Amino acid sequence: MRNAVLIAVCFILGCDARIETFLPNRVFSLSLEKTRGASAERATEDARRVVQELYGTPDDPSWPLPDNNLADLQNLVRSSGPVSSEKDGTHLGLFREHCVVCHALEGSGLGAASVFQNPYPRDFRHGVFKWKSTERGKKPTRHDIRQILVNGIPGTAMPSFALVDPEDVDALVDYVIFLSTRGEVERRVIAAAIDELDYGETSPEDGWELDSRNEGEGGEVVHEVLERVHADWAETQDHEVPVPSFSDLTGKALAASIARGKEVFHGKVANCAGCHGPSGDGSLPTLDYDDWTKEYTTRIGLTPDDDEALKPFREAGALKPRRIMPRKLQGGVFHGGGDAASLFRRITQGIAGTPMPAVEVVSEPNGKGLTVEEIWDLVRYVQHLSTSR
Amino acid sequence: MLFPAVALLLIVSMPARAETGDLKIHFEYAGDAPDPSAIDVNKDVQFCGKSKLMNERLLVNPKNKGVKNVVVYVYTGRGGSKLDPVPPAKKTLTLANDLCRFEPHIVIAQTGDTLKVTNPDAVGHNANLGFFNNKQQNFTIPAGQEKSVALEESEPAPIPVDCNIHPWMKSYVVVLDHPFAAVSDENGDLTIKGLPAGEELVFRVYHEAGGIKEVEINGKSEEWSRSRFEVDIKPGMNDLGTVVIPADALSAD
Ligand code: HEC
Ligand code: HEC
Repeated sequence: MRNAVLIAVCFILGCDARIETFLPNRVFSLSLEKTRGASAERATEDARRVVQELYGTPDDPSWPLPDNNLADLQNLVRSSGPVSSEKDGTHLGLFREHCVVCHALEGSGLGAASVFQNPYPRDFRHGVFKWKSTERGKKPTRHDIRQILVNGIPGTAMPSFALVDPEDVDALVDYVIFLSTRGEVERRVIAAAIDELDYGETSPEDGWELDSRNEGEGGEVVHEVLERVHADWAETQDHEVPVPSFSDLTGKALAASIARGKEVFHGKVANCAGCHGPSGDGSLPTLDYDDWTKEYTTRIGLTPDDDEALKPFREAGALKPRRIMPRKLQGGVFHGGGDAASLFRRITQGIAGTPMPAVEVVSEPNGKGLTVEEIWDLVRYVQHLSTSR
Repeated sequence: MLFPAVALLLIVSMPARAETGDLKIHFEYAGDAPDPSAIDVNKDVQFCGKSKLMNERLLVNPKNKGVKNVVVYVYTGRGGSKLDPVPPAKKTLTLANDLCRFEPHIVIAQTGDTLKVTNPDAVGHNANLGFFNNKQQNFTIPAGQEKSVALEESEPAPIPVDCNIHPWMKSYVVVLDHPFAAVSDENGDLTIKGLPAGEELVFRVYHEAGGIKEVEINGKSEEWSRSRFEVDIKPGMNDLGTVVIPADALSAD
C-alpha cells in the first residue's frame, strides 16, 4: 500500500524533481491572526526568507549553529534532495524515498497519503513527540527517534524501517531533528514578529525587520528563538525519566499484582477508567482533540465540526479535525511500547500533545499520586489487559 | 489625550514620581446578550450533571450588557511599556475544579506566584496547562486533592487550562512579569490598581471569544490596533468610561 502510494506520488511530482523551497506554515499563521488580531502575512513571508537563510532548502539544507552533534550536515545532505544513488551505492534523498508521502517535505504531516490515516502523520514542526523516554514537555532523544524508525508505531500507519541500512536510519534521525527544529523556529519567529516586533498589516519600524544575522532588534529576536529551540534539543538527554527496577513476576504473585493494578486503574487517584472506560474497554464518550488539531480549532474558538469557519484553514492545508479517543486497552496494541519501562514513563508523564495526563509518583500513599509499587501493579494490569479481549 | 483639561491641571500640580493611578473601564456588548448554551454533560453524569453547566465563552449580563471576562493588562513586550521591575508578590492563587467547572474562569498571576489547582469535587479531574514558557504539564488531581504549579516565567498570551476527563471544562491563566492586569466582572467592570502615574502606558485587551479591535468609547469610534491601546495615566482614578464592543467581534460558540 505504502509503495503504491509512493509510486503514485512520484508519478505525479517526480521523485527526482528538484524542489526549491519549503512551503510556509500557513495554518499556523492563520491561527495567529485569529488570536492576535493582526495580519500575519508579512511576518510569514519574512520568516520564510529568514528560515531559508538559516536552514536552506529541501535540496540544499544547512545547519545554522555550531552545535553539529545535534545534526550532521553530511547526514542532512544524504536525507534531502531528490531520490538517487551514488556509484558506491549510497542512497540520497532518503526522506523523499521513505517519508514524504505521509510527513510531506516540510515534516508538516500533510503528505499525499495523510488524509487516510488515523491518527494523522505527525507534524514535526510543533516540536512535540509522543513516544519517548523524556519528560512530557521535553524533546525526544536521538535514541527515541531511532527506536521509532526501527520499530515503527504499531497500530498506526507509521511503518517500521528495520530493513533500511542503519546508517541511512541514522541520517534520517538527523533529518527529523532538522525538520522539527526548522519548523519550530519558523513558528516561533512568526509569533515573535507579531508579538514583539510589531509586525502587522504594515512593516515594522526600521531595524525591526526579521533578520537572520544577529543584528538589530529583528535579528536579536530570531537568535533568541534559534538558541532556545536548539538548546531544547541539546539538553534533552538530561531529562530522561529514570525507571526504577521492575521485577518479572509469575504465577500467584503476578495474579495478585494484576488484581491490585485493577484496583488502582479504577481507583480515585489514578482514575484511568475515567477516560479508558471500565477495564479499559474504551466505551466512554469523549469529545476531545489532540494539541495539533486544537491549535486551529478549539484553542482559537472554532468548533471543529464548523466546516464553514474552518474553510480558510482547510484551504491552507489543515486536515479535517478528528477526535482523539482514549485508547481501548483491552486487546490493544501499544503504540509506544508495551514493555514495563515505556509504560512507566507513559503513566508518570502522560502523552505529550494528547489529553492523557500524568500521575504523580509519591514515596508514601497520600491520595495525591501513586507509589512506584502501585505503578508497577498498574503496569502489569495494563499489560494483562492488552492480552485479553 | 483623553481628558486634556485634566492633563493641564496635573502639569501644574507636578505629580511626584511615586504617585500611582488606577484605570477603570466598563465593557459593554453592542449586540443582544446571547443565551449561553447548556453543556451536554456526558461524563460523570451523576456528579457533574447536578449543576446546570453553561458554555462560559461569552457571558453578557442581560440587565446591563456588561461583558464578563475581558482581560486588560499593561503590555511590556517589544514596542510596549517599559515598567520599573516590580518585586514578585509570591502569592498563591487557587484554580478550583468546582462542580465540574473551573473557578475562577480566568486567573491573573505574576511571575513568582504559585498556582494551586484544587479539586473539591467528588470526581477525579486533570489539569492540562498548555504553557509556552513555563513547564508544560498535564496532571491528574484526585478527588479532594490539590497540586501546585510554580509560575516562573511570564507568558506571551493567556494560557488555556483544560480538563480532558471533562473536555467542556476550560479556563485561562495569565502570567505577567508585573501585577498590572484585571479581568472584568459580571457587570463588565474592571479596575487596574496602582499603575505608575505620569506615563503613557500601552495596554492589551483580550477576550477568549474573539479579537477586540474596533470599539466605541463613550460614543466615539476608536481603533485598538492589534488589541492594544494607550492611556496617559494620571495620579488617582482614570476612568476610561464605557467601551462598547461590536457584536460581531465576539461569538458565543
Ligand atoms: C504511511 C505513512 C507514514 C510514513 C511513510 C512515515 N510515517 Fe512517520 N508517522 C506516521 C503516523 C501516522 C504517525 C503518528 C503516529 C501517532 O500519532 O502515534 C507518525 C509519527 C512519526 C514520528 C513521531 C513519533 C512520536 O514519538 O511522536 C516520527 C519521528 C516519524 N513518524 C518519522 C518518520 C520518518 C523519519 C519516516 C520515513 C523514514 C516516516 N515517519 C514515515 C505515518 C508515516
Ligand atoms: C484524560 C483522559 C485520559 C486519562 C485520565 C488516562 N488516559 Fe491513557 N490515554 C488517553 C488518550 C487520549 C490516549 C491515546 C493517546 C494517543 O495515542 O495519541 C491514551 C493512551 C494510553 C495508553 C496507550 C499507550 C501506547 O503506547 O499506545 C495507555 C497504556 C494508557 N493510556 C494508560 C493509561 C493509564 C494506566 C491511565 C491511568 C493512570 C490513563 N491512561 C489515564 C487518555 C487518558
